Amino acid sequence: MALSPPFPIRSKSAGAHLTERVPRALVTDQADGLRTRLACGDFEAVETLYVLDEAGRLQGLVELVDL
Amino acid sequence: MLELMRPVRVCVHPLDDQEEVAGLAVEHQLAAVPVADREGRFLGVVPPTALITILRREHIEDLNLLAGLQHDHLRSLRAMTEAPVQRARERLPWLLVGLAGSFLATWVVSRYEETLSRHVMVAFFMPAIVYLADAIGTQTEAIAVRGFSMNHVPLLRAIVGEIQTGFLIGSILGLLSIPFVAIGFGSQRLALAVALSIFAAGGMATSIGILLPWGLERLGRDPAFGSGPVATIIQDVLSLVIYFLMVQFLGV
Repeated sequence: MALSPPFPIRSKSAGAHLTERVPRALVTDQADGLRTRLACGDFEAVETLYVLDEAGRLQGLVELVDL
Repeated sequence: MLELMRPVRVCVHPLDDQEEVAGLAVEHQLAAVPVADREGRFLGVVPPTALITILRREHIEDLNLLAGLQHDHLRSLRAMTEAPVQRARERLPWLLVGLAGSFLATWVVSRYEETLSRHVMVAFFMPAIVYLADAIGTQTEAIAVRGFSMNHVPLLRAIVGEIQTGFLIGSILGLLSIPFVAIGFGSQRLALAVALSIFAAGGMATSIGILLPWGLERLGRDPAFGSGPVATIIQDVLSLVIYFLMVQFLGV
């Protein structure tokens, strides 16, 4: 059974095009360990690493070329 | 991680309109646009492939609406190969609005039957004034639909600037028409009426061309609905009214 997303989907909205398959990391993560994790991941957009806090809130971005 | 981190410049909500999201990506040169809920929890991104699809679909939709075609993405792709009946069905709805509007324009002209019968020369300039209002208005509609859809432009500056541009274009075209009408038709009053009508029609056409898409955008509709045959017929009727009022006022 497909899981329903935690927000209403409306056609022609951002949610209709959303992908969750992007690299993420915690603010406390070390850059060294991330490279291995990123190499093994199956991502749809790989240019940017999304850095979150413990509550899952977006804190910043890291361009993968900077890692 | 903190040393490498860059601030989040753009983050959208899942219910935000796709065209605005694509516009933000273009404006901020983003390959993907992050999406978060109301509490700021990260949900994912609108990826590059989706952004390209959105931009293409919205571009086709705006083009269709500018031309007064009903929009359906799949149908747009088949538009050149569909049966004539199907093609006519797509194009007729806005043209029916145009037909009703053209009856209104005919009624406006019929109100000035006496003026026209006294000075048939007045009729010679009706197509030129209507055409110029249409042409100026169409340029504004294209600019407005593109601007309101894709960018977050300073609204008042955009509207005032476009209306001023309309009057500037109208004044240049109006001045250029004076010697042609005055010498060619031997009537200075008619030349002045035509020039003033072109001037006023320029300002009116840009006002409608920008205020109609803006009003629709404010109502949460696609600004492109304010272009095409609807705006054209309003500009046609008003440019005729302006012209005949000038003719009356100047006693041509």
